[in-house]
Amino acid sequence: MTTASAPPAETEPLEALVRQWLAGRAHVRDLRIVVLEDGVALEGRAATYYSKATRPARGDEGPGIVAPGQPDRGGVSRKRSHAGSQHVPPQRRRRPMLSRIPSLLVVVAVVTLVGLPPLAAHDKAAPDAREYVLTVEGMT
Amino acid sequence: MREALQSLPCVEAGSVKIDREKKEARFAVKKGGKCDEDAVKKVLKEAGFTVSAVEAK
Repeated sequence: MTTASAPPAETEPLEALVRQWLAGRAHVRDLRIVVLEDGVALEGRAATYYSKATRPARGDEGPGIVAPGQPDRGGVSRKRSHAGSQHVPPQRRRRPMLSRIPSLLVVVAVVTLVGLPPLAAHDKAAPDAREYVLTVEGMT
Repeated sequence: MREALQSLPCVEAGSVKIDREKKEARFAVKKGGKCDEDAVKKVLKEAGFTVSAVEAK
């Protein structure tokens, strides 16, 4: 693919739309859309690796959306020829353990950096107390 | 003791009242503020006093 950069103002509405689609499914930071001659590239950073080949909206032709580093499957990954073969129920694809590690590391890193909330301190603070009365020893 | 309590950010300035006979110290909490009992006890301990009871109203 060759790059044909578009002004950011032109891609902003599209980026907003993609963010709307992703809301609740994946948190992608620094989402950017790069317009190429033969398609668009979605750039961004996510804690987990999401790759999914999907058919383009206009039909079954075309390469679909291909994750970086994945071979172009020509948009046929969802289409299976059932001619001459028995129907096999689709098995749920399990994510390999290694792909889960980044999200675990993110959680651990956030907890390490931010720290756990001081629950004990909050418990001892009366939330709506307007006045305190202390009994103090050692007054002369 | 008054200065120690007033040094706490949650204590309303000028609200500290000390009753030596009753061995009581009272103070009002600033609007929107929250006082941590441990912090109150620590400040008074550093000032040479021991807090035996804390009552929040």
